[in-house]
Amino acid sequence: MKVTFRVPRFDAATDFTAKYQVYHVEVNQFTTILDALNIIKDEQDSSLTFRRGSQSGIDGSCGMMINGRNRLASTTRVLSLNSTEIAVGPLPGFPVIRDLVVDFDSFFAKDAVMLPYLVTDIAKPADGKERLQSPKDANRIALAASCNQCGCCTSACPVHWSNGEYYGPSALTRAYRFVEDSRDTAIKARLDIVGSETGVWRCHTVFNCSECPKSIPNGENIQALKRKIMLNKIGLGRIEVKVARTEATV
Amino acid sequence: MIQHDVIVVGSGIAGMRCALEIKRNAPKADVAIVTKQYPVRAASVVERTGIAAALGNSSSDSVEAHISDTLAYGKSNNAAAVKALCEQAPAAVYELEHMGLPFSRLKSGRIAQQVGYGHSQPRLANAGDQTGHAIVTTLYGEVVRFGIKVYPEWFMLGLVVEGKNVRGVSVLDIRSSEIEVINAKVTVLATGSYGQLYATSSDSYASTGDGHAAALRAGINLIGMDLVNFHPLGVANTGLIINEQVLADGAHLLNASEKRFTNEQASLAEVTAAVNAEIAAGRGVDGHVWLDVRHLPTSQIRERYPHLLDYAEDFAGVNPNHDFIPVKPTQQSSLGGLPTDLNGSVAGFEGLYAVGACANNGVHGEQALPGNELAAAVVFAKLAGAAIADKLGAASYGNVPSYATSNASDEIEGLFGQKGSHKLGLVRKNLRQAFNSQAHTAASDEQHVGLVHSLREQFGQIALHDKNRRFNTELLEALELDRLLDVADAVAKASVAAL
Repeated sequence: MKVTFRVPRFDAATDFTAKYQVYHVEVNQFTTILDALNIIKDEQDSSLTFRRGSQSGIDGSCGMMINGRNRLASTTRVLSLNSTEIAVGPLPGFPVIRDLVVDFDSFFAKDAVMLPYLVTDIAKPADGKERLQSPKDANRIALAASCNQCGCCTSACPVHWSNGEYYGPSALTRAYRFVEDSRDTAIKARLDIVGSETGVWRCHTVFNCSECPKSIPNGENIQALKRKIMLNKIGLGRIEVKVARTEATV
Repeated sequence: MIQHDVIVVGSGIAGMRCALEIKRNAPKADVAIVTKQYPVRAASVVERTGIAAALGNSSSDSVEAHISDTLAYGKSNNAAAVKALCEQAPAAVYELEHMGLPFSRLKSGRIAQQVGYGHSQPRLANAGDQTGHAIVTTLYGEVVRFGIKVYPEWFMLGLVVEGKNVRGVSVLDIRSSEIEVINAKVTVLATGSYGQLYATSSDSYASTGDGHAAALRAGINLIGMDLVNFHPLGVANTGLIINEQVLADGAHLLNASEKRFTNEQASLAEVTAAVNAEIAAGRGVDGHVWLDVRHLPTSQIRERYPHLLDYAEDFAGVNPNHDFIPVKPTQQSSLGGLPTDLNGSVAGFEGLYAVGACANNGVHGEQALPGNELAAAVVFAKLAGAAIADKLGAASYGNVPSYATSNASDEIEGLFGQKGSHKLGLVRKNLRQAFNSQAHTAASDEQHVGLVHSLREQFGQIALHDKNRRFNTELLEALELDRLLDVADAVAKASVAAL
């Protein structure tokens, strides 16, 4: 089947606005959006510029806006969109470098602010083995930890469009993943970070961010962080318990 | 010119683990990582299988059992490397846990140990079925914690070599097409595999053997280049792998007439050969056979290999509870690489180390036991990091020859100026399709040598149509194909020599 692709062409160094270009691609039931872009690049227009990575969506290289929604090009089959006209564009809200390639530097800088590593007072077991964690506690963080940082959520957030300083759902989900980790004790430090001027209180619960390619409920995670901050303000949080914890338990 | 004590090329599991070990042992060392992607996008994330380590959490597993399983599977392994791997894998896994890796857990709170293909005991420590991704993300967090400098989206053009001394690397900033030379006391190649040589591959688009080619161009002989493993369960149009454990668990392979045609419990190589034969005999469906898992409990699929459900829906548009999944053989792993000792040091060259999939110390033998590649990436990167930290005090920057910059810029300007009628996409397609055939005969391997030679000539007549210097992915693909052709030549010649 022949499908029409409409793609904005843009170079930040020379252009004020994008010019749209149309390509026609023959697809079958297995062809993904990324396959189609590869076909265009190989056979029709080698200057079309996009990123690609693992072909399975697990690395998050190929986030883009496809027929009005942020998705991964590698895991979206053309025919699943039920349309013979496909509009592909760069992730909105990030500076475009060229065509479908956007600048992720500020995105990863915000991620680094979240202390994206384990901070803990819980001593390592004397035998050098693992800290214990119940399957229930492991499951609490598994989904948030599977985030591939594709940027689809942060890019879909209208608050992020109007205020580029806002940390955005992806970075906040990263904070959430450590706040919820039973092995981590830097809850207060992280809640201070996410509760700051550019943090969770900027979220207006639009929930665009919960349309995540990895099914991570980013919007809900942000609300959970808000609740944690408030509970701790009135002394009902678990921070004290966590800081006092000195050995891992199940 | 940029200077760092150590430059690590590649931000996958091996590269980051090595950089961290250097910082741990020599906190004042100036270590930097250069990567052609963003670090969290590294090709290591595609690894779905858990990491093999005899923790003994689910059974009375032992290091000895892990060693004997590895030797039985790999056949011609370097026994000393296997011993080091199996002995040190548990400590390496505990360290990942201490870094916060979100491992799946047993009721006891200990790290889960999944059953794995080729393992006599449940031995795979896993984070759901995204263990590669979890390790990359965890190590990246540590890279942020230690403040290790990362240069994202910089492509390594080559090693800077003077005589037998490696003085760093020349790189291309993908965003500007500008050239830099990074001068370092120690250079670590952690550039991953060459899976992109195969039309159907489970590896990332980034796996183009850049480090292999850089080594070849510096006069280093690569070893084991013909040791490439294939897998019968590549899903639909992609080369992505459905975990082989599903076959051990009783899934069926069916041909066009929906009949079973092989013993699914045989070795992966045998099953792959049977699938290839069935498709070649015209009994496949559009180049695929069917994987039937309808009789397997969904709860078991969800627990052991949930990606099967996603892959079936995302790439084939089918529901595996009711429908067959189209599968075909795919390239799984490439074991050839720079010859190293257990510390990652490359013999005959001062200041050069290689870790991860671009190195070959013989640990895997002829085929890698599932989960051992992840374990080897971590264990041997750690050993290399410690060895480098040890030597760093005595190492010096040395002289950077002026041709380092001019060679690099000649390559870029040469590509931009090149004229001709051949198409990059078509040359790459022809190369990848030729190597995709897994039937090795003396004739076909000789043919490959000739084909690579003629494709190399065609490559000299590719004109780049995109002259823009900003984020020029056509230039990037040309550089990658150029390197892949060198790797292809090494693979073809190694296959001929092996017969």
